[in-house]
Amino acid sequence: MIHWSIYTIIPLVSIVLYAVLFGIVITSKPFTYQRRWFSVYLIAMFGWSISAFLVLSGIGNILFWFRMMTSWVIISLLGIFGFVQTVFSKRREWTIYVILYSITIALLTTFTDQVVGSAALIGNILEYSFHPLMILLVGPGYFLMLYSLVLLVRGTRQTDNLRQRERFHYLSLALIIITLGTALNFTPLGQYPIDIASNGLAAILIAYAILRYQLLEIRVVVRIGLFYSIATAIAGVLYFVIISQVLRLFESYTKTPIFIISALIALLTAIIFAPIYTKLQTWIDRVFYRERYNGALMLQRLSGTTATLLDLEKITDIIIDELSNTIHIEQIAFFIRRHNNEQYELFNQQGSILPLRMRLHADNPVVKWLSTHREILTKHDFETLPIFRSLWGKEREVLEAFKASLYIPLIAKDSLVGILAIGESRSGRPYSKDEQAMLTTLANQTAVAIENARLYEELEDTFMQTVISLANAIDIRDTYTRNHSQEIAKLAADTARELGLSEDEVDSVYWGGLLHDIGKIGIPDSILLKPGPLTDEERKKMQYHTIAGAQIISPIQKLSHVAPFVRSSHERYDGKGYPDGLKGEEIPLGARIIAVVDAYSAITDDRVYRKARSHEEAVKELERCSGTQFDTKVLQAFLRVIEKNPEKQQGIKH
Amino acid sequence: MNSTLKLLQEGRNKEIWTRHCGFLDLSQKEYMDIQKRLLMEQIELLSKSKIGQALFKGKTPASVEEFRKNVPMTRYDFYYPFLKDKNEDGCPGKPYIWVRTSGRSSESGEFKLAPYTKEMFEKLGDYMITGMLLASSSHKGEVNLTVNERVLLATAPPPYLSGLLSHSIRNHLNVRFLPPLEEGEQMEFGERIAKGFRMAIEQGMDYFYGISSILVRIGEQFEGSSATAKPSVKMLNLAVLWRLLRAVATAKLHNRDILPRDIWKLKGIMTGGTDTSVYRQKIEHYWGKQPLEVYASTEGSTMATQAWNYKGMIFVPDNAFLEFIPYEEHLKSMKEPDYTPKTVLYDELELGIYEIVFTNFHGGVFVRYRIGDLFKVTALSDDELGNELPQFQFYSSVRNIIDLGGLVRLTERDIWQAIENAGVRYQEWAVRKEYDSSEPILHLYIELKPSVEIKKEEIQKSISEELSKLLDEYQDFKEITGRDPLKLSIIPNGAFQAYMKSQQDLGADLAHIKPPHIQPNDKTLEKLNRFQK
Repeated sequence: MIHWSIYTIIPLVSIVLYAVLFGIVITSKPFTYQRRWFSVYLIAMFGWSISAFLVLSGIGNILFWFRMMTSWVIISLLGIFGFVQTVFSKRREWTIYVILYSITIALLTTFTDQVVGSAALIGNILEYSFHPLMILLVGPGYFLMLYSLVLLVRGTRQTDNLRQRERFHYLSLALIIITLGTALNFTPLGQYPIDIASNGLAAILIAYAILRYQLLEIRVVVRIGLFYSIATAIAGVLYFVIISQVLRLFESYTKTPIFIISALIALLTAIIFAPIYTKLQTWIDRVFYRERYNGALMLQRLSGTTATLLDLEKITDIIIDELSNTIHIEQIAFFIRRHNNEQYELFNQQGSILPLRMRLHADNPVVKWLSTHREILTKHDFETLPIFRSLWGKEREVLEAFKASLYIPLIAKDSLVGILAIGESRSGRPYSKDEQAMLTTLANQTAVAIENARLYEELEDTFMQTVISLANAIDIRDTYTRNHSQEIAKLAADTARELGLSEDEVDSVYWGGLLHDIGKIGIPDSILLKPGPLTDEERKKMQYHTIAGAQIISPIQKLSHVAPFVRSSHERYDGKGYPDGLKGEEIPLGARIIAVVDAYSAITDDRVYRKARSHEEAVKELERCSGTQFDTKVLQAFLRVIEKNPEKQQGIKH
Repeated sequence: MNSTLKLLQEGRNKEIWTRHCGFLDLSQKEYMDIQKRLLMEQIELLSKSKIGQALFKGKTPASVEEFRKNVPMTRYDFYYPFLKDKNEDGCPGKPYIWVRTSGRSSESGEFKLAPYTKEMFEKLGDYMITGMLLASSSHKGEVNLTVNERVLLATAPPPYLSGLLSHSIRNHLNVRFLPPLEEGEQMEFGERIAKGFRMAIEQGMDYFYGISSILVRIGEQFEGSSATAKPSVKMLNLAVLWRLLRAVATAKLHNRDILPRDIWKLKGIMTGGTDTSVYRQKIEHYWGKQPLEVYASTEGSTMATQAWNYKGMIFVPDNAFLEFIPYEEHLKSMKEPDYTPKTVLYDELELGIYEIVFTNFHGGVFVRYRIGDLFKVTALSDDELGNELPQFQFYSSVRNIIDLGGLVRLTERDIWQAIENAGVRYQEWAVRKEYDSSEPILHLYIELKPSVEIKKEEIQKSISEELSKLLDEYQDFKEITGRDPLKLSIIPNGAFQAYMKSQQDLGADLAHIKPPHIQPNDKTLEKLNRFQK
C-alpha cells in the first residue's frame, strides 16, 4: 500500500524535474564533456528521487531503497565533481581513482549493511541510522564538494569576464545549496525531503547556468528573492500578530464571523504594510544598487551641464572627471571624428599613455565594428572576434597598451561621432551590467552635445581660417607682404615668453599679434595707402580699426580673449594712445607687447610715405619712447628677443 | 591579452571557439576586408625592406589593385640572395625563428629557409589550437580541449615547420608531449614514435598530428596482431589496466582484433599531405576518428584547414594574402615561362582547379609567391557550417602531376587512391612516366607485403580498373589509344627499406630518406634495382 503525503509528492515532482532537465541537457548541442558530467549528476538525482519516492511511499524493501538512495548521493557528488573539473578544463590524474572509489563505496552501501544501519517508515516519518563507516562516504564526498567550491570561488575571483563570473556565481550557489541540503540528513530535519528539494533547486540553477549564455545578474536574483521573502515574512508576521490580537479581543464581545474579521484585518494590514513595502524596496535598492544611484546622479548632472556647453574640451573634461569619480576608472580617452570623417582623433585622455594625436582611421576594425553594431565593444570581443584580426601590429600594440576594457560608441544623428574608451576600473573587477548600461546612457546623452561642440569647433575653425585669410589680405594691402602679421605674431609670442608668461598666455599674444590689424579691413585704400599726412577725419577712421578689429573677433569663442589685445594695441603707456586712452598697467600686457613689436615693424619696414630705417635706428627710437609710449619692461624683453634673432633685425617682413 | 590557456582554465569556451574558429563565420566581405587591410600593412613593412624595394622598384603600391598589377610573382630563387646564411637585413620584419624546408632552391641547391617573425610564430600556435578544436568537435562551438592534453610527438624536429608547431602550442596549452619535446627531439624518428606509443599506453593519448601513414601502419600492426608493447612497471596502474580491459572487452564484443581505437579514445587527429584523403577511411577504422586535413607550408605557415564536418579545407584569412591562378592560366604559364598569369581573389573563385599564389602577412618575406601547389575548389559555401567561404581540396603539387599525351593528368593522390582501392597490400610504391616505343606509359614500381602472393597481371588489371573508375579521362585514354598505359614492375621485398637505410647511412635529410612517389629519378630507380639484386 502506498503512503501518500506531502513527503512523497516532493520526490515525485523531483523525478519529473530531473527527467525534463536530463532531456533538455542531452538534446542540447553541442553535448560537451561539461554537459555529459552534468548528465551523470542528473541521472544520479533521478535515481535518488525514485529511491526516495519508494522509501517514503513505503513500497517494497525500505532499507534497500534507502541504501540505494544513499548510493546515488555518492554518484551525484561524483557528477558534480566531474562537472566542475570540466568547467575549468581540468584533467586530474586522480579522477580515475575518484571514480573507482565512488563506485566501490556505492556498491558497499547498496549491498552491505556497513554504511546504512537501519531505515523504516514510522507513519509518514522516515527513521534511519548510519554506521561509522558512513565517514567513508561523507568525508571524501564533502572534500570533493568543498574542492569544487574552492575552484569556483577562485575562478570567480580570477576571471575578468562578467558573463563567466555570473556563471560561477550560480554554480557556487548551487553547490552551497547541495552541500547544506545533504548536510541536513545528519540532523533531525533529515527525515523530511529537504535535501531532495534543495538538490532540485540546485539542478535548475546549474542547468540555467550552463544552458543559457546570457544570465541574469545573480544580484538581481538575490535582490528579488530577498525582497519578496522579507516582504512576505513581515506581512505574514504583521497579519498574524494583528489578527490574533483582534480575534482575541473580538471573540469576547462579538459574534462577527471570523472570515469577515480576517478580511477586514487583511485589508488593514495591506494598508499599513504599503509604506513599509516601499521603504523596504528603497532600502534593498540602496544596499544592492548604490552604484546605480550614484550613476543616476552623475547622469543627471552631466545632462544638465554638457547640454549647454559648446566647448568640446570642457565637455570631455567634465565627463572624464565625473566618470573617474563615480565609476573609479583608471584610464579614459575620447576619440572624436575629424578630417572629413576619415579619422577618429584622440582628443582628450586621462591616466593613459596613448600617443598624442593618435588616430583611428575609418577603416579601423574597431571603428567599423562600433559604427555597425552601435553597442559597447568589450575587450573580450576585441580579443576574440575574427574581424579584429585585420588590425595592424602597431595598432594592436597601442590599443593593448591602453588596456581598454570597453569601447563605447558615441552615436549622434545616426552616425559614429566619437569613441569613448574606458580602461580598467581601479578595483580591477570587470564592469557590471549596470555600469555598462550607465556608460551607454551617458554616451547616448552626451553624444549630441559632443557632436554639436565638434561642429561648433569646426565652424569656429572655418571662421578662424576666414579671419586669418582676411588678416593676410590686409597685410598685402598694407605692407605688400603676406607674412607681416605672422612675423609680428611670432616676435610678440617670443617677447611674451621672454617675460615669463605661460604657454596659454603666449598663445593669446600670438593670436593678438596675428590679428591686431584685422580692423583695417574696413578702411578704404585712399586712407590706408595715403602717402601724405591724414586729415582729422581720416585719422579718426584709421584709429577706429582697433575697435573694428576687436568687434570682428570677439564673437569667436576661441579668440574672444584676444579681442582686448587688438583693441588696445595702439594705446600708449603714458595714456596718450587710442581708442580708450588707457594708461600703464590698465593696458593689457598682450597689447603692450604688440605695440612694441608693431612699432619696431613700422620703423624697419618700407612704408608708402617713407623708406625703411635700420635696426639700430629703430632700437634708438624705441628706447627714446621707453616709459612714455612703451612699457619699459616689455621693451627690454623685446630688445633681448630681437638681439637673439639677428635675422629679424633687418625688418620683420624679411 | 588573455591567453588561450587562461580562457581554458576559466572555462570560457565560447571565447576560445570564437578566437580560434570564428573565422569560419566570416562573410566574404569581412574576409576580404581582413585580407586587404593586412596586405596594406605588409606593403608598408615591405617598402622599408630590401626585398620589398627590389620588388617594388621605387614605386610602393598604394592599393591592392596596384599591388596585383605592378608587383611580379616570385619563386624561391628570388629570395635566395637575401636569405642565405640567415641574413636578416633584407627582411621586412625581424626574424624570430628560421624555418627550413626539405625542398631545395633550384639556384643554389641549398635547403630553403623562411624567416618567421614573432607574430607569425604566434599565429602558428593559434592555428594549431584551431586544428585541435576542429579535430575534436562535432558541432560549432564544441570545445573539448582541456589543459595538459596528451599529444603524440610524431613530427620532424625543428627547424622543420611541423616540429615548430609543437613548440608553438607548448606555451598556449601546457600540452604534454609523448615523449617530452626535449627528449623526443634528440631521438631518431622511429625511436621517438615507438617511445611515444609506449607512453601513450601508460598515460593515454588525446591528439595526434603528423603523417597519416604512421597511423595506418600502427593500425595494420594491431590488425595483424603484430603490435607489441613490452610490459613495464609503469604499466601496472589502474588507468592502464582499465584501458586494456576496456579494449579487450570491446574487441571481444565485436569479435575482432583489438584496434587502436579500443585503447585510445582520441579527441582529434590532424594530418597534412596527399595521403590524408587516401587513408581517411582506414584511419577512421583503426582510430575511430577521421583525420582533420590541414594545409601548411614552410613559406606560408598554416594556411587552410578542414572544419568539423571534414569537407573541403577553408583558407585562414590572416596569414597570407591569397591569389589564385585559374588552371588554364596556370597551364599557359607552364608552357610559356615568361607569361604572367592572371589571378583571382578569394571572393572571385569559382568551382575548378587553381594554383595558389600567396603573400605573407606580419612581416614575412614571401610576396606573390608561387609555391607550386594546386587546389580544387569543391564548394563556394557550406550550409552545414553556415558560411559562405569557398572550400578546397588539395589537388596536387605541380611537380607531382603526370601528363599522358595531354589526354589525362594523374596526380599522386589519384594513383595512390587507385592502389588502395584495388586492395593491394603493398609496402611502398613509385611511379614514372616512361616511353615504350615512343608511346607514353605509366610505369608503377611496387613492393608488396612479404606475405602477398604475387599475381602481377591481376594486380595490374585491378589498379588499372580503379584508375578508370577514378578518372574518366584515363578510361578515355585507353579507348582512344586502344592500350592500357599502366605498366607494373614488382620490386622484391626489402628494396625500399634497404634504399632508406642506405640514405640514412649517407646522412640524407629526413625528407629525402624515402624515394619520391612521383617521377623518381634514374639514380633512385637504379638504387632500387640494385637492392633487388
